[in-house]
Amino acid sequence: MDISQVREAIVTLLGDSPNLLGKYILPNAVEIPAVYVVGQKSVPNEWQVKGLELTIRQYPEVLPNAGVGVAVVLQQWEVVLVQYNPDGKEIADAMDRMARRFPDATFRYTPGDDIAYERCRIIIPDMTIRRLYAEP
Amino acid sequence: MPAVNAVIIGQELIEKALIDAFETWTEEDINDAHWDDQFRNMGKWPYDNETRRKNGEVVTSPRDIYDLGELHESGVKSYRFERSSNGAEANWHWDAKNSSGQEYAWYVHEGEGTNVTARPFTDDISIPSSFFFKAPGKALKLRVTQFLDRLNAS
Repeated sequence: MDISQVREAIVTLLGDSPNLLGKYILPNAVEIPAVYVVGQKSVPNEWQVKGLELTIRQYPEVLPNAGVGVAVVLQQWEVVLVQYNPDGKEIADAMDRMARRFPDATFRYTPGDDIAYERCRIIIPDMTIRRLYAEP
Repeated sequence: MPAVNAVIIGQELIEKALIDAFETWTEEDINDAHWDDQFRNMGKWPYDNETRRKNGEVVTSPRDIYDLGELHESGVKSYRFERSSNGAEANWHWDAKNSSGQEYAWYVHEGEGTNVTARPFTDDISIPSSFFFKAPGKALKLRVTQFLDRLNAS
C-alpha cells in the first residue's frame, strides 16, 4: 500500500454511512472532513476540530529483512483517532470498523481526562516483498 | 521398511535454558541497552515543536526523551523479573510523576496533553507484528540460540 491507498481505504471505511468522521473548521468558516496526512506539515493550529479527527502518518516505518534476491519489507502505518467532543461515541464505532478491516493491527486506546482527549493510536502492518535488483 | 524415531530428552534443561535466555534478554538487552537507546538517542524522535526543557536545553526535532532522566530512571529501576512454575515474567512501570503528582509516562508515549507528538518508547517490544523485525526481537532470537547452543556443548 502507499499513503493514498491507506488514506482512501480508511476514509471510505469511516466515512461510510453512518459517517463517523468529524470536521475541520477553517479560519474562513469553511468546513472540510477532519482527515489529515501528517508528514511535511502537521494540522495547522488555526484549524478547529469538531467530532472525530483522523490523522495518518505520511510515511510508514520501514523494516526490511534480507532474503535471497529480495527484501521482505514490513511497512507499519500509524493512524491516530482523536475524539474532540467528549460526549461523542464515534471513536468506539471507528475502532470496531478498523479492527474488522485491519485484523492484524495493534490498537493503543487512551481514555480522555482533564488534560487529554480520548484517542486511539493504531499501527497497521503491511508486508511487501521487494526485489533487490531490477528485473532484466 | 525404513523407520526413524526422534525424541527430545532433558526437557527440563531446555526449559531452564529458555527461561535463562529470557532473563538475560530482559536484563541486559532490554533494561540495560534498549531503554537507554529509546531515551538517550538524540536522533530518535521527530517532534513538531520547540521545547525548553527543565535541564535548560532548547530542543527541536529530532530529539531524545531524556531531559533530567527521571522518566528513564523510574522505568529502569522498576524492572522486576519473576520465575514461577508456569514460566517467567518481566515487568516495567514508568511511575515518574509530574509537578501535579500524576504519572506522565503515558502522555509522552501517546502524545497527550502538552506532548504534541507521540514517543512510543515501548512499541519495539510490545507490537507483535514488528517484534522480530526490530533489535529487541533479533536480540531475543540470538539469546535463545546462544543458551541452547550451550546445552549442546555440555
